[in-house]
Amino acid sequence: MHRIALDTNERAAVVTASGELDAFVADDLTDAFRGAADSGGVLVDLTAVSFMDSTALGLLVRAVREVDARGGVIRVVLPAGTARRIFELTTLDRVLPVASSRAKALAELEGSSAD
Amino acid sequence: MNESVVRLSFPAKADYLLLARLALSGVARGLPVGPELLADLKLAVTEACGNAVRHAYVDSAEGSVGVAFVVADDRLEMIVEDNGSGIDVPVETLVSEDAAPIEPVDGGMGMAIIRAIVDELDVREGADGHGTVVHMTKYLEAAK
Repeated sequence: MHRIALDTNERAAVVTASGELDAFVADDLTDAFRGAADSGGVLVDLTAVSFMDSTALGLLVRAVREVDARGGVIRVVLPAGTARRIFELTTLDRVLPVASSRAKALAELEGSSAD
Repeated sequence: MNESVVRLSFPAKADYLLLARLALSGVARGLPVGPELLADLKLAVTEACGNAVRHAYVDSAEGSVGVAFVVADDRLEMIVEDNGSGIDVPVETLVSEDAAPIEPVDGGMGMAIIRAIVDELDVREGADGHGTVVHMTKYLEAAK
């Protein structure tokens, strides 16, 4: 139903999620964000997420704030399908550090870490 | 006026939130509900059920969430009911039009999302003074 993976081998920590994200997956999401938090660059790839509720969104917002607060750089790739809707309803698609694709996000993260 | 009612009841645990969305998919079959509207309605019912799971059973381990889908000629109603200790925020705050949906604070964001999706939202205490009933109505374009 859902899958959340954390890959810290690339130059950025990459959290890739797919499927349906609601309160049931809160612990998995929290663990993944926590595991990524120490990296200077964090990518959250939600491309394959098919559903997302406010619990999952709240955890994402918290992760973005924590990375920001530590001076790290984070990019979020929004869901490709209808799960993107919650970002539009809350206008967070205009507030969060969104990248249009995983490749662009990684390029931006590499660019910022080279500075 | 034709009305069909589908009822679902599940323990107040996040494990079962998916059931509300699956039931809704079944109910929406044959209704004039496109993929985008279905996604919106899934979000609304999940937010209501999530609030019930999160807030309704702070003090008691066991509780259940009831969901009723009422299909009428011109609308779909989704009624989410819990028998817990109730939400601790004044109902007027939850349904107020100008509450900003930006901050994901304890259910307030969920209510703001629901309000943005459905046409009518009514939040009240349960009949016996316990729990909360969230009544959502979405009017549908006439079936072809």
